[in-house]
Amino acid sequence: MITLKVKDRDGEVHEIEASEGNTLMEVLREYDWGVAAICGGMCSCGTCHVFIEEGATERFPEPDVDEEDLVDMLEFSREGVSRLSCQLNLEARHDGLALELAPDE
Amino acid sequence: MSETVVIVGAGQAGLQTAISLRQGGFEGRVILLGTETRLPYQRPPLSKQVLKGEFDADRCTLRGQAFLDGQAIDFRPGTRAAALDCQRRFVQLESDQVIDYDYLVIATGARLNRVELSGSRLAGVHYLRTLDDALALRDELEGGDRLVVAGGGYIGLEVAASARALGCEVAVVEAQPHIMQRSALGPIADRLLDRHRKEGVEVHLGRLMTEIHGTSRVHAVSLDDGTLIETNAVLKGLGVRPDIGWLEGSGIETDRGVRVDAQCRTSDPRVFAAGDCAETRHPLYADPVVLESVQNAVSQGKLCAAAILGQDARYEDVPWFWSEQYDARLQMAGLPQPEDRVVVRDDDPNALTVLSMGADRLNAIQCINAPRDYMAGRKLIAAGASIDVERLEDASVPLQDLT
Repeated sequence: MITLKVKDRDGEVHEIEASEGNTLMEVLREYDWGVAAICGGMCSCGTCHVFIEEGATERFPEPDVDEEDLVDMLEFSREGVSRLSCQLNLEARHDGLALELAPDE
Repeated sequence: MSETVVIVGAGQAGLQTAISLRQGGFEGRVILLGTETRLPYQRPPLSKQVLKGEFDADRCTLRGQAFLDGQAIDFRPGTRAAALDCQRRFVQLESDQVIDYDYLVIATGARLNRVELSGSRLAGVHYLRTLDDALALRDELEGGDRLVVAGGGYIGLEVAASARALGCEVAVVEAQPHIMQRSALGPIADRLLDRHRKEGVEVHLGRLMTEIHGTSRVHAVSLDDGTLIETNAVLKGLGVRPDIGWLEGSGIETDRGVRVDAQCRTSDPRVFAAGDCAETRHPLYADPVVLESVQNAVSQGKLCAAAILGQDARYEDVPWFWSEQYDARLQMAGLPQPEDRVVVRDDDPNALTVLSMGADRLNAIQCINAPRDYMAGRKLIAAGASIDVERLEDASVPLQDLT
């Protein structure tokens, strides 16, 4: 188990536990304040959009071109910190990671 | 006084209604009835990750029991509704038990179109709608042998691609002259047809499967032109229709599906419908539409909850869909209209963008491996923006610059 700090869309910060091996999206959709993740992790819809804390993005592999293209087109995307949480596999090294849910579009 | 909402159907639409009721502050009882014995799960992976063995059953679960308990959602699996009495406001279950409601949400989804042919009951003949169907088909295909798919729609083609990935020899039989005839624009369907054939799938267009041969287990199928295809498994992917038979005699107005307005309200003001079973008046379209998609289930689940909470929310989301076959990611938004002009915008061996243009506005966009175009197109459709049609075919001009 690892711990994540997640700021929801109302600005409230939740400390949550997550299992390695899941995607970040699968962890976040379990909460009523979490992500919608409508397409279920196909990198197709952009409804699991999150902002990873500044300086922590290199703790994940670089986005592939599909994710990059989709994120670029999202209304609230922020250079360098926007990711689709369905594309992020959680590992032990992500313990303590802080992130924020992007606004609904 | 505490009110009770009964939601019939625990798929994506029913579950979303329950979640959105709680998110909106509903404090009464929420009873969620599911026909299957499993926790609510997502269907899109069934024909893809589940078949390929990438997801186990648990990974498809949408929300766990702890979440449902935490939200005070009274989930009752293995429960099938048999009848509805709108006057006395109760649902009668197949077990004869009766559940009273103040508000009812019909989210019973769709049921498979079954075509009974000679040999339909042989071992090795499959349908795919539920997670259990997918697990049974996965076990069948793991041997990596032969599969015939009847029906060249999304399910049939996704299964064909998954079966190829497992090393099976695959034939697809489609009655229409094109695959995905009902929903894909011509150039998209052609590209995917090409792709399937390059992957070694034998595609028979304009042909019907007429007979399944075998003694206890299937060993071949016949087509209407006399072609005999040897196989040890058959998938019938012949589409679905709204599961609304149980509403007979209830007085709820139905046509192809349960007729609802833009707030998802049926002909009875205390009864709502959402998802695959609903036939919806959508502000973007002149005729009512039945939309079989996750997006529609989620959008309408939210609308049902909003209406029950007394909010005046109306359907305005642009319909969108997706599919994955091999490494082709198909993303579609909007619905093509009969008078539309079809424009191919980008033609690259790995990516394709096709637009369905009304007089001066975009009605639909369908993309293969072109998420940037897709997202731009979805926004253009939602905005109802008029578009400079002259520059549309010039792929060097980004779509979002065409307004």
